[in-house]
Amino acid sequence: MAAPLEQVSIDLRDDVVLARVSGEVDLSNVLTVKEQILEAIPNTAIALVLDLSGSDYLDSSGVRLIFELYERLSSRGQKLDLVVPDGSFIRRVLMLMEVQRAVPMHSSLEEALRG
Amino acid sequence: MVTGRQAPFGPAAGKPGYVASILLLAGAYFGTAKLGLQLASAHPSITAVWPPTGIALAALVIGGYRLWPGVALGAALANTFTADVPALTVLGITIGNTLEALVGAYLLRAAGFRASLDRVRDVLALVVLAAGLSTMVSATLGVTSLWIGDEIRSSSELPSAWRVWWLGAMGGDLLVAPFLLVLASVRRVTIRREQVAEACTLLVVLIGLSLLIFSRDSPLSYLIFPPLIWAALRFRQLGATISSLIVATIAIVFVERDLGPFARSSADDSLLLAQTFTAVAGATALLLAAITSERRQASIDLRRARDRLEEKVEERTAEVEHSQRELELQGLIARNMAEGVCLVRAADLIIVYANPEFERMFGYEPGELYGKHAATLNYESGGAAAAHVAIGITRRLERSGEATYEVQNRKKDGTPFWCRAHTSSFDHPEHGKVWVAVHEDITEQKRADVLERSFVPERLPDIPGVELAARFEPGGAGVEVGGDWYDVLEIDNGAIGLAIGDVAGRGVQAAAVMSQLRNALRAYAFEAHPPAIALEHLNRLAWTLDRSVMATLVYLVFDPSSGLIRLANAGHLPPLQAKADGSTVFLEDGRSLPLGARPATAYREAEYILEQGSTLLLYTDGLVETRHTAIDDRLQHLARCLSTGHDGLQDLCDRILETLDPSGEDDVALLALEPVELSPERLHLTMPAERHVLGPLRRALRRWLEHCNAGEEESREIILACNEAFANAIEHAYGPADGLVEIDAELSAGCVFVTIRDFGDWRPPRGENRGRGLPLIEALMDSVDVVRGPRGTEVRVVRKLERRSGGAA
Repeated sequence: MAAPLEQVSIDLRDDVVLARVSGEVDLSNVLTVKEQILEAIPNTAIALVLDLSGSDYLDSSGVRLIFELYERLSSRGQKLDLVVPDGSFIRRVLMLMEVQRAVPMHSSLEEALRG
Repeated sequence: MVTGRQAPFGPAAGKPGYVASILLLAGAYFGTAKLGLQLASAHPSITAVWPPTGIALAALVIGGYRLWPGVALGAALANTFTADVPALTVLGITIGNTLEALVGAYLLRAAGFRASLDRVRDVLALVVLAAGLSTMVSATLGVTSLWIGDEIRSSSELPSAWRVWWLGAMGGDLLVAPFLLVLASVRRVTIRREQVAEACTLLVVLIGLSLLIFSRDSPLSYLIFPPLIWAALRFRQLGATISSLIVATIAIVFVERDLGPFARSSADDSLLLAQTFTAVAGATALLLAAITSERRQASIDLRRARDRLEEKVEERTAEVEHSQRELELQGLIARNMAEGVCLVRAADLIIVYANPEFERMFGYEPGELYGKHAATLNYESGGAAAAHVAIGITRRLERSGEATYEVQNRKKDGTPFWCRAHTSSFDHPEHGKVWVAVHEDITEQKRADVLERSFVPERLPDIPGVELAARFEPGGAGVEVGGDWYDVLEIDNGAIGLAIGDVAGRGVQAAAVMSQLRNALRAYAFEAHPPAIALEHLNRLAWTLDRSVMATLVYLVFDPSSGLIRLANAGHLPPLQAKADGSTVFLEDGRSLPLGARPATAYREAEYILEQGSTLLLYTDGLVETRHTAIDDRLQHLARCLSTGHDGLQDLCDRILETLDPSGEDDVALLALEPVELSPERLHLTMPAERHVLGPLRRALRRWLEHCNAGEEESREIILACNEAFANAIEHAYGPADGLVEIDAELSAGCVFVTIRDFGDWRPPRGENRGRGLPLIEALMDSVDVVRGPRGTEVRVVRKLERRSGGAA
């Protein structure tokens, strides 16, 4: 009924897939977001960088998405990096859910691409 | 002349009656025996005329075996006083005579004999069993007794003696017994007046002829047959027996005197000849009478059967006439019915009748459908497949007798169309079992059904900051769809879009255009196009659809936080605003041409402020246009309705419809909106348990939390916690059917209390990674309670506000 909550843009940088998600991610659009990201990852990619700097909302279904992406990628030997700005609300949510224990979390895209 | 008569030998009731019967029988036996024995010549105990045999037989047949002592007594007396024969011989003769009667009666009873002698079989039984067989008993015993008693000296006389005895007894059975039997069995003798003369004539002829024949020597005895036949045919059993008796008596009297054609040298021979002749004549007469009776009975039976048949035929004729009239009436009804009716013969599915409406519906000429197969009517690509449809329907009918169903039919020109049909069976007098099918064309309705669902929202969204109410009343016959519609849209930035419109025309075409305009407007609205731009796009769309599209539309965007309305009006009636003080104003600005009027029209836009306490009403022309009243008067009427205040928007809508009482010819759509103060203390929302409401929920909570002066960070946390609780309800509380979730938020003593309530029954979480919501809520809130009750589940969260400025904290 409402206009799309989120926007997903994909960039390919050498062997790394850069997915930027802006807007909001909740139960209503998490599947769309997942499909867009999974479709964009070629078998040859060595890593996915998920940039959430432009996102201003992420609920537990979004957190589930991150864990699921991590499982899928690591079982194929591919890497997942998150970009979440320091002090942002999403960073707080992810920290509460202990995401950083499994998935590397960077405060900027540069840092993630470097790492 | 009618005479009643009791049978002389009817069963006696008591003992005195029985004894009297015995004595009477014995007397009669004795008397006639003496009469017969007077004629005896060869031996005093053997006579060629022996009437007692007939009397004894008749008595035992009518009165029963128990009368045998009468026979025995009579026989004993007769023989005792006849000649001087030894007692032992008398005993033998008596036993013989008694046995003869008993055997004769037994044989007749065993043969199913009827005393009335009105059947040929009765006559034959009497002749063969009684006269022929039973008489041998007495002849044998009697002659043997005489021989033993030395009454017959020479054994050479035995055969002639036996023959005389036998034939004498036989004469009694054939001449006397029938007369008595018939006399006893006739309860009422009915002789008509004209028959009296005939009977007298017959009697005279019979006696005269008998005297003539039996007194002369010439062999004219056959002359006696005509009167006997006459008697038998006209007076039947009674006539035959009486006549035979008379003839026999006269014949014997003359033979006694050695006169007539039977006179021979031996008296016994003469008597035997005479008796044999009259016995044969009597038996013949009896046979004739019986045949006549049987014929007569047969003709009576035949007439009765014919009468019954006629009655039945009359009854059936009446029934047929009745049903014929019923059919005529039904035919009259069928011919004039608005629905199409056809009759299909069940045996071969051939159409035997179709009413004019049916023919028109299917596009045939009058009478053209008669004789065609029912499958002609069913739509399918191939003929075989159409036949399959017809047979499928028939099979359903055979099972349940009648059926109501929707079926796709085919007009004569091949056009498919939908019908609702009701078919039942009927026993047609001419065609046997027929299917009566009543068809109604529902093509238009069927299309409309599909479309109508998309005209207006199923339920108005629950948007914090506004109250909404709407009405939609379809006009016309209720079947054809009109062109009115409205919509409420939640735009991403918290604003609300309201639209109301009217597409010119009715029916499926108008509905299709309306549906496209509505969907397109939604798309433009979500892209946050200002109203004027949205209308410009819609106009362009209208021109691509169909050049003849003409539609009016008001589209406005209301921001609850500022009260600002931005409005664009494409030729529609102006929205009406009622202010808190009761004054009303039509929002006339921002008006342009209707959609579809001119290509590339630029649409104007106007801004208004809707203060708290105001009411905004959007409506379509069906509400205010009537044939008899000027539209301005109606609009003023509407304005007065709005200015008088109301008890809630639902009440207002009801009152408007009641007061203006639209004609009902056109659709009526109403959409009312009131801004309501977002209460800083309380927020109540009811939302469907669907994923797409999560966004609007977050925005509603954000606006409320702003009113509560909550800080940015804590707002986000509270919103996330509520979102998680709501998402849990979506995922766990309900099956695929619709469910609702309620949110109650309250600010009290510096704390935010939120209850998220569903009405389902939770199932265990499905899939991996589920159930992360609750720990997250617990991490974000100060306290979390999950209460599961029989009516559903409540999640209650509490969070103390840190950055609340002012207030009760």
